[in-house]
Amino acid sequence: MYIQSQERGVDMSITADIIRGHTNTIILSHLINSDSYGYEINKDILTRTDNRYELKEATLYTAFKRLEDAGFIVSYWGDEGAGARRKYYSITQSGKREYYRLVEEWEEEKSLINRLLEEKR
Amino acid sequence: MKKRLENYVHRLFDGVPKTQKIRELEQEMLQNITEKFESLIAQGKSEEEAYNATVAGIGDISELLDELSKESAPVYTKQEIEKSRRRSAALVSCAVMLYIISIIPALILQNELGVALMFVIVAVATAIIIFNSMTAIRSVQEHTEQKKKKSRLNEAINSCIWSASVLIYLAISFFTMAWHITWLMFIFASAVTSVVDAVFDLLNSDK
Repeated sequence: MYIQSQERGVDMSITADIIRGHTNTIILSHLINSDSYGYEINKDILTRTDNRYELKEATLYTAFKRLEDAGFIVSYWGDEGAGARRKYYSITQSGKREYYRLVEEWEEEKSLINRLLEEKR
Repeated sequence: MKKRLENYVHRLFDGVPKTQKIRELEQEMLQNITEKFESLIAQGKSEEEAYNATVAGIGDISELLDELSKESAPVYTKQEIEKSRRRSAALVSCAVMLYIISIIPALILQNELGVALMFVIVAVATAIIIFNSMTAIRSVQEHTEQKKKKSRLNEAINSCIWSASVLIYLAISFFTMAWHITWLMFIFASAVTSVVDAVFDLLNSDK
């Protein structure tokens, strides 16, 4: 997990792990709106987190591969010309179902943790 | 700087079997990285800063490459195969040349040093041959041709023939003491195994 901001340091890495754990969901959520490619997705993550987080290229491509192998996304090459063509990804029907399933899972996780934290007070 | 980025990515993919997916990954990565670099420059970063930030954001692709390389066979372009062929030709030619030259020190010096030098040259030539056969890339065709193996039955029969030959050879030789003739038996055994191989080959190719 690459952390742009050098100011705070160690405590950032905990959140970084959480984001990496939800890489698939994050990517699918981006693709459910429109097709996209590697750099655009990462840039979006950067802007949405106020330039604090982005995924490593390695993490991104590994996630793409897993999602594609599982049939949740498909890829195609853009027509920008042989030298500069981009690899675009598109979400499939089963990918959409997987996305909603993952979001539901996350909601459950969230409420579970919240409940546990309440008890401790 | 952009060239430097390209080189960096190429080096990441150095020595990795070039399967179709891996080639595509290299293209995809290069394109994404270049766009990132350009956007950092547009934001006002210096070329050095942008380069470092881009490279730092790559992470470790070795596991991914490992997985991809196992999924399919490498595919090479005609130029790559041609280049590899020429390199192999050069290496093997040099090796053969060295083998022939190796005699010269022994002939000229007529002493142990000459012989020692001969072996040194032979060692170098052999190393070149081994290096070549291990690093040359083969087209898919050559790769699969290499893998053609004899069936287990074929191998089993050949083993029997050879073991029997040795037994018969020793028995007859000790009995008749005609060692100067009985060795011919092995030539015969070799011919028989060749015939067996040919028979198996014909039977299999009929399928």
